[in-house]
Amino acid sequence: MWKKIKKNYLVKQLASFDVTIICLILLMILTFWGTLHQVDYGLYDAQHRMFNTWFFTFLGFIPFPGAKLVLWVAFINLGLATIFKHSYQWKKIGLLLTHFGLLLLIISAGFTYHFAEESSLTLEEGEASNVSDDYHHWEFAIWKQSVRGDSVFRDGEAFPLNAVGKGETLSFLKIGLPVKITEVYKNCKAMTGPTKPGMAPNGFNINELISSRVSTDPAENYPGLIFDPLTAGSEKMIVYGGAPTATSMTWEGENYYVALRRKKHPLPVSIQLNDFKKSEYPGTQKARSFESKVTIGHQGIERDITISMNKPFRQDGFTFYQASFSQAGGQEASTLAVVKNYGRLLPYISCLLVGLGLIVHFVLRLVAFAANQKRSRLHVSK
Amino acid sequence: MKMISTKNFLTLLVLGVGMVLLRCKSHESSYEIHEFEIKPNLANGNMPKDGFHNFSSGQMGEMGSRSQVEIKFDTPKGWVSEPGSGMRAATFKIADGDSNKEATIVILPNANDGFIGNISRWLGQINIVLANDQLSQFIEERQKFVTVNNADGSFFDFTKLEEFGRPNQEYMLASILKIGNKSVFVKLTGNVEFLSNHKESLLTLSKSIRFSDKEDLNETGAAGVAQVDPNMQTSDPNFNQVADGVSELSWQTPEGWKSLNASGMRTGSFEISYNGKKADGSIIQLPGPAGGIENNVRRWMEQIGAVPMDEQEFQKFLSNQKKVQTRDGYKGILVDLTNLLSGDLTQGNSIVAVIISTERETIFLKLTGPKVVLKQNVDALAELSSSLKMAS
Repeated sequence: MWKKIKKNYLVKQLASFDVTIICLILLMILTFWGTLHQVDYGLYDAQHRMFNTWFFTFLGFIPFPGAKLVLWVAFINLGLATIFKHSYQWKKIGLLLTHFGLLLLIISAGFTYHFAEESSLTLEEGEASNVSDDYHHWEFAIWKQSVRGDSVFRDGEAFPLNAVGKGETLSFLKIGLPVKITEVYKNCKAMTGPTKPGMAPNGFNINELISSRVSTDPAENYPGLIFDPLTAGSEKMIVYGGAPTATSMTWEGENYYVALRRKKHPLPVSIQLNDFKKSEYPGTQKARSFESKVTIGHQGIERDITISMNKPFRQDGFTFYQASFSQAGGQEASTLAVVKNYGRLLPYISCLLVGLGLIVHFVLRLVAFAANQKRSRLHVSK
Repeated sequence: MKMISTKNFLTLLVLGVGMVLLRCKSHESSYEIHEFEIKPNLANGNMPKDGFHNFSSGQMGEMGSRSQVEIKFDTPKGWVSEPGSGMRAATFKIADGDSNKEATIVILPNANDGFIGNISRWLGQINIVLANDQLSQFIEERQKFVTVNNADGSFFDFTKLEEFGRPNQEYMLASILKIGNKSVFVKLTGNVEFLSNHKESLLTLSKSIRFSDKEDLNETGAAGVAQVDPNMQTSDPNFNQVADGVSELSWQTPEGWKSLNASGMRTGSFEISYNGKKADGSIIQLPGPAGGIENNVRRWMEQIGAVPMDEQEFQKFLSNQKKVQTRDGYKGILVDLTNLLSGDLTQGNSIVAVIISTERETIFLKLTGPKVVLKQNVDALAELSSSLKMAS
């Protein structure tokens, strides 16, 4: 059966070295093109238009393979070549290791694409949190909160906005509140004015949402929702992603807060920013380094650490990088980029495998070459 | 190494990895929230400077001590009163054809008794921009009245401004009452015909409003009762009130500007003339971030009927605005809206303003009036902002 498969025309073509070369050239073009594209359109658009896609078109109609398709073809090509074209001999172990390393590199790219989560955490000095904000995804959340001293505790329930559709009825099971979604806007403007009949007032006098063009950069989109709490005598409510405050509502005698907000990611630790320090190049306002002195709370134990530009903090598959800062209004704030990626080590392992494979292959070839030379010399001397 | 077993293993590995990478996304459903935050600035009663935070306007009231004050009123015939919520002390449903309109009573503690800030805000809500003299005239022509307990009130009929509005647009009737240390706002919005039908009812309601304090015991007729939390603060930038905690300001009035007596929310007031046209200048101080630069600029854009910008355009517009600095080093932004395309609503009027944010307050230097006057005075406004000094 193996021989049959090996002789199959499609398998032979897919495992051919020509396909490898085409894939490498396409990846080179995509990398170069993507680098230029992101200058004008931003990193997110470049990633989504050219890399996280099977195909895209340029000049309006000319199709070009996206990096997703090229990497899949390269993965299949490399996999089939490793299985069917490789001769499994000890003297080829170096090449086998290199192929495994490359396969693992593509696998790690897929793993990161599907499973990694990126978010950010901005804290002013003195503030603490155990959640980070997603860059692009939003959630429709209802919660009850309690305040003790400086601390705010929120308990509630949320739906990811991309799972919310017009006309749907959502049940917030934890608080037993059903709501019917009347309108969903992916990007909208909020208009203020007198509260309209049948609408509940909200803190920002928002009385209407007007749909806007959805930007390719999700950071520029502010979604909005109009929903109807399915309770007796209730009024429709508006929640707007751009509103700086949540809206309060009463349900069965309890006060709740409702908001459309950037999706919150639970962190394995709580982080409190104690101090933010920035140093500048002499005579300029250009940042030379900045660091955040934070207290990490994990499983009841607190410890003080410093997160700086090249010294991220890692815990339970999460990595916290020093990403940005703000000193507006005399109040210092630090922004940490939070990356959750359990496959973080895979690219390192694959590079090690590729390097090790090349070294082994080189050494084996060197030994074979030396042996050949020796044999040749003996042959000549005889 | 057995060839077949190795190939079997590798095939399974490739297929397995492929299946994982091609996994179908499971349907996303709800999830629970368990969040914890420390917000020392909010505990001090400050609003966050930027970004999303999770406090409603009612939150501050919860954190302070609560004491309930009752407000009483006589519900006009044909109106249905409902308990208020949030900032509202009461809401009234009024039948208007097939739909319902709403009148509201809002009470703010220690709110300033000036009219300019409130009237300007309400004009913005109904998309009417008035020049300074027109605004002054409108305020002058208000109907004064006294309540059943002899509190002073003023009634504003915005339908008188029909010449500045669009056809079939909505207008407003509003009363402002000063009772003790509280300001009471009564509002009703609708078209001209609807408002003229309910003008007397709103005036009667306004005159009947009283608190259940000992000086307010002369009840008449069947009264509605609503409760309001006097500690309630609002995060609505439209509802900013003058509060303690702003600096004493000094400045040098630009040449050719006429200083007027400051009143209401204003720290300073000016009249600016050019070619027989007049613009209004003001200095207003508000504690905290006062809604932030972006919210205020967007609100002003709406007021002058500017063609809406998307976020990218808006940020580009803001970044192109001139930067200014006060005499004591506080930085600000000079926002010039005179070059923005705007609709007929503006009557040729626009806004040029400086926003200066300090650790404790936000200072607005604002010129409103005909574009031609504003364009001539942009540099003078920058000079005014450079001359500002805050007493420590």
